[in-house]
Amino acid sequence: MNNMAPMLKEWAGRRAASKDELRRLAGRIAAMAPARIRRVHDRERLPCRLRFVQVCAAAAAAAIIAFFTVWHLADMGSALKGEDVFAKIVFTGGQITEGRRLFGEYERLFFSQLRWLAECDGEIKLGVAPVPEKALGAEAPLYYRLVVVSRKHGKGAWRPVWSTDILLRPQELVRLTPGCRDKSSVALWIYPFADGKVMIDANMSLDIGRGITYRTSDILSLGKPGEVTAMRFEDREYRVFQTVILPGRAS
Amino acid sequence: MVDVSDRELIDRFRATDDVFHFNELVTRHIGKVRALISPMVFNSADADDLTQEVFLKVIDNLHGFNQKAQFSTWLYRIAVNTCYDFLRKRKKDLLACRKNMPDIPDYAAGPADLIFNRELDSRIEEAMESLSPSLRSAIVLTAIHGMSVREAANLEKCLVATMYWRVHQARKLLGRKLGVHPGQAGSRAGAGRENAI
Repeated sequence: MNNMAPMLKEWAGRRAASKDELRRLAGRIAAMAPARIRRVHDRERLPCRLRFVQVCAAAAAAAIIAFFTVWHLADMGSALKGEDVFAKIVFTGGQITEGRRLFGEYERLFFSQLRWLAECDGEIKLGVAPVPEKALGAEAPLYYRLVVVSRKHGKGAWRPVWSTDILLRPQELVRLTPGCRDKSSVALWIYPFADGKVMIDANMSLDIGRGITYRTSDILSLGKPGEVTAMRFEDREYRVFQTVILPGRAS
Repeated sequence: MVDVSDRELIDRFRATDDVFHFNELVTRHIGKVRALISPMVFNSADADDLTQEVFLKVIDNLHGFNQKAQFSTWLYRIAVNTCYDFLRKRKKDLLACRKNMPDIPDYAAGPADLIFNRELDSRIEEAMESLSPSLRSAIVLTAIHGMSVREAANLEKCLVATMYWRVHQARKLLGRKLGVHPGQAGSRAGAGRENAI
């Protein structure tokens, strides 16, 4: 921090509350605490059954949407199984519209607390927690797609062996374990710049081949797929691609 | 009570709901929480209100706190998130609030120091205000509260690399606004006052 830290510390020190002020503030909190504790008790005791019904209703609604989402995204995944596999790493207009609709529905369902939504191995994963100020300002989620393609060494067509789509708010940290792959882990953070580029921090450990593990910090143009890594295990070659779009922003 | 750990106090509070144990937690942590919030919101009255809100949120959620993390980490996370919520709601009024803020004189200093500090504070506040909440939080946690980047990342639940980037960005932006360069005096203890910032 060099010289900035002492200067900021001094500034913060001048703004600090005195002991008396802190004592008064603690007294204020102490005066409010008993009522608050009673309120927590009441909340826990009385509407227990009501809360159970609410949770069940939300879970049922989530399950219904998840069913349609998996159905739709499975369809999206199958689009990759073509000859021109690299062209299909990018999102199509229909997928963008559908993604926006799904994200909006989940967001309403979770009272604007949806941080990210991911499809991995046919499962939908959600990140739900109070959304910070910086994220609520964003008009649309970012769409991130990671595709692993493979072929026999030196011959044959590249075919997708695994892919995931993640819809996330800018600067949101996503951590997840994809579906049935216990040994896999995905950590992702994306920051969009004003000039149509994005910074992607990713820490991936994918249970594919003998394990594809990498940690990158890449700058990518919106809408343009980039190769993250390539590796070879015995007679199979693997390449990992990623792409990000931000609907509404030119790519 | 000094010998009793936070964990024990929490266990006792959970078991008995005796406000005494909660108050002890408040006494222990109120200074740090208030000091964390204050440079985020620039206004003493708001900092007090938010500090109060943080501890009331603690009451709401303490029964669900799983103690995997340290209580202080959990508490500061609530404080930072409360600041984010506040800044989102009051974004438009923030400047007005800051201008209405009563001055906090440094009684230990003489009149010349007072004027210097006031001017310096005003510039720092302006520079801090230009930072987004996440960058502001990054600089407050690391530069002012002396947390390591890893601790700050853990508190904000983001990658260490992300926190490095935020600190770097915040430092760069602040440096530009304040005209601070490496090797230049940064405090009153430094060379000349004209060169201090």
